[in-house]
Amino acid sequence: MKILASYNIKGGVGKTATAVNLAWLASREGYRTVIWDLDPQGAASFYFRIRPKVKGGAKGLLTGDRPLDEAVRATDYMGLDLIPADFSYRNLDVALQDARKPAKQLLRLMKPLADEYDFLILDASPNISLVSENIFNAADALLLPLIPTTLSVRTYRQLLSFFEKHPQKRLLLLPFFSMVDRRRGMHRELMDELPRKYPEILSTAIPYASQVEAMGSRRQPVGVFSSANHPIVQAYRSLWNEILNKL
Amino acid sequence: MSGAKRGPNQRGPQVLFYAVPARIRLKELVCRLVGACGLHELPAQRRHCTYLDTFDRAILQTDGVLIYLESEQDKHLLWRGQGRLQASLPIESQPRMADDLPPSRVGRELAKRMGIRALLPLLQTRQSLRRFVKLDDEDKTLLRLDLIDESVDHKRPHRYLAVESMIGYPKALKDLRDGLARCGCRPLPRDPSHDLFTDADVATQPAPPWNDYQLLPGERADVAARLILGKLRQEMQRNLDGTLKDLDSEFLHDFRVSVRRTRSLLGQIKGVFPQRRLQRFSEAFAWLGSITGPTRDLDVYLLTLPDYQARLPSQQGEALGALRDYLVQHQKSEQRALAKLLGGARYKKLMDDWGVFLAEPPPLRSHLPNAALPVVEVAGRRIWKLFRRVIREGRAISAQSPPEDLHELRKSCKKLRYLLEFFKGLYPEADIKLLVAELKQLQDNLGDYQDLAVQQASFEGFRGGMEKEAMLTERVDAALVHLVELLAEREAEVRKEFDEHFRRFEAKPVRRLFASLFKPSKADSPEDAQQVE
Ligand SMILES: Nc1ncnc2c1ncn2[C@@H]1O[C@H](COP(=O)(O)OP(=O)(O)OP(=O)(O)O)[C@@H](O)[C@H]1O
Ligand SMILES: [Mg+2]
Repeated sequence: MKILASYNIKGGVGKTATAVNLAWLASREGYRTVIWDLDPQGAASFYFRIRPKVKGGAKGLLTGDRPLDEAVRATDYMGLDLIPADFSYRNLDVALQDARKPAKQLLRLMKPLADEYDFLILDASPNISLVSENIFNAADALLLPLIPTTLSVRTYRQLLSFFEKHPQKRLLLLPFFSMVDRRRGMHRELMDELPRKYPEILSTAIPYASQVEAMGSRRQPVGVFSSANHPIVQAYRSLWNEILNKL
Repeated sequence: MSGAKRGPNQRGPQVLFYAVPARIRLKELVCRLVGACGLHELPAQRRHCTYLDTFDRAILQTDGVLIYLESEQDKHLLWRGQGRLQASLPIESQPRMADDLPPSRVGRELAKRMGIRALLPLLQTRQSLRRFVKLDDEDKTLLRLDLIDESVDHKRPHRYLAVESMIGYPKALKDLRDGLARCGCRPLPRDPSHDLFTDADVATQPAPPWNDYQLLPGERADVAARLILGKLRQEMQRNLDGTLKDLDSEFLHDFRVSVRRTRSLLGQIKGVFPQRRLQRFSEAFAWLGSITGPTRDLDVYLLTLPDYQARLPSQQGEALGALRDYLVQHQKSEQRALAKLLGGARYKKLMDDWGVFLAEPPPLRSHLPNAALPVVEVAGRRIWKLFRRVIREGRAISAQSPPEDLHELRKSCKKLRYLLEFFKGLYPEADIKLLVAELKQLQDNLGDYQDLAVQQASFEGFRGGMEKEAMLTERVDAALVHLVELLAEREAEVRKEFDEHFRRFEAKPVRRLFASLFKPSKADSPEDAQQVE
């Protein structure tokens, strides 16, 4: 099982949209996939119409009273399951601190799922904390949506300097442009400039598309209510293929 | 959740099937499902189903059912097994070979079952399907229920219910099961596709092993030989259609093995049939062997090309892609020529005449020395003779022996192996298993050695052939030269391993077992025993 985390220090950059749409595509190709909605806001759970509630909350999971596996819910899509968010996740940092090896707890919880799934996709909340450290320790790759703005680039640099101080041997960084609006000069300039500086940036860019916003009212992955050759569906597919090739 | 449970999905949606009771009207049933069980009906669908499996039923054998579904909306590959929905994948077209499946785990799991065999259509049906779902107050699906009418060739449809549970929502499932029970719907004991198979006379079991026949030790040798040859004839005919259509490469392979076994038996049991009558058949089977050779060789190279590619550095491996094109072209034309011959009058006449010969009653009196002897005696003597030959030839091989000596030994081993398989029913099963295993490990070594030599010659031949057809670029040439070098190295290694394999075969327990089973009791030649003991 590969663990992919949709992550960024910055909020509102398309992390959840990425996790939800890529997970859906993966399952359509026959990969058994599960999303873990780690964001107490529960946006991913919302998109799948699944109640953001885990019996026993973060505590129950960490003490082992409630194995993660029991929290799994099927989505409406074959081969795609979800572990819902829970409001208690807002205190996950605190709960983690009490455990032994606090930065490895989430990996420990996810391990038993390895036999059941090909991909576990984490939808993280925006910040850098003990939870994110857990994610770095568990994930095979970080999917990093970058809006081509100076502010976004700044947080990307922050993340890179964090990894310089805390090197992660086997963690693959997969940044890609997100919510791209080619009408905007700054987007065009940065997309021209940044890949030279950061060659790890994937070549697929996810455009700004009203279809993604519509996910909020449809409460479905874009591919479910858009035609297969809609540019946004194709962009996510091409992103997914690029990621598969890197793994 | 145990770590050992890899493989088929243990947690996918459960699928339960129910019969619709005859006494309840459909309208009423639907009314109760919607009313009492709180289901919503979705738009009805019509689907065309093609049930798929390999010739040897690799999917059905593992309790699986694989269906290619076409509806107006989309095309799907559906895999059920172990009471669960293992996969439901959108797919572009009906898959045939393992390569046509997605590279994900379900694809790999199906591919593992299929091996190199093709998925063949077993049965085509039409379904008209009414789908019901249980939703929660956020319109999340908690469970699905399909009411299906499925028919073959416009015959009276089979009607059944299929319930698909969803992980994490056990209560919805329990409620529905209770509701169905109240309506008098009984769970079906097995996947309803099996009833359709039964109705349409589709075999769900693979054919038994060809040598699954009963031989009595006291049976006349000519009667037994006719029985065995008849089974081999059946095996050829069983694989004929797939060979003609080239459904996959195993049909031709199995066809050829039956031809080879037939030839081996005809050549080995002397004095059982009148030689002048056999003459013609022996020639005809030799002809069958030779006309099927070229296609089979190309099949083998196509099947093993990925292994060769993997042995080379990646750039050279890629260059061998051009060899694939060359092989595919030639395989196609050889296959066409072969199909013409096997579909033609000469083959048909051969098989008809052969069938007539095999069906003849044994003559009451025979001047032939072995015809009326008990089969166990004739078989035992022959096996003992071949075994001694293998030992003699093997012991004579030294590090300096030329390749021809090993190739002779390989042939003797093959003859011995066939005999053990023809007559296995006359001896204790475990003993034959053990002897075959010991013989096989020796045969594998000798076979590899021979194959490696043949392969080098073949790749040299392909080089020449590609050059003639202007397909030989410098890169391809370099890859082929390198490959031949690698094969030569491997050949030398395999040659070195021969001693170890032979020593294992001629170990005392193996010799003892051969002697105890096959050595003629009235030791017609007393020195035999010393020779091998
Ligand atoms: N490609 C896109 N085109 C248009 N809108 C998008 C796109 N991607 C995301 N959005 C919208 O932007 C908002 C934020 O997206 P999303 O929730 O995926 O980001 P996030 O990084 O997960 O946010 P948070 O940090 O709050 O978790 C949402 O309203 C979403 O619909
Ligand atoms: Mg989010």
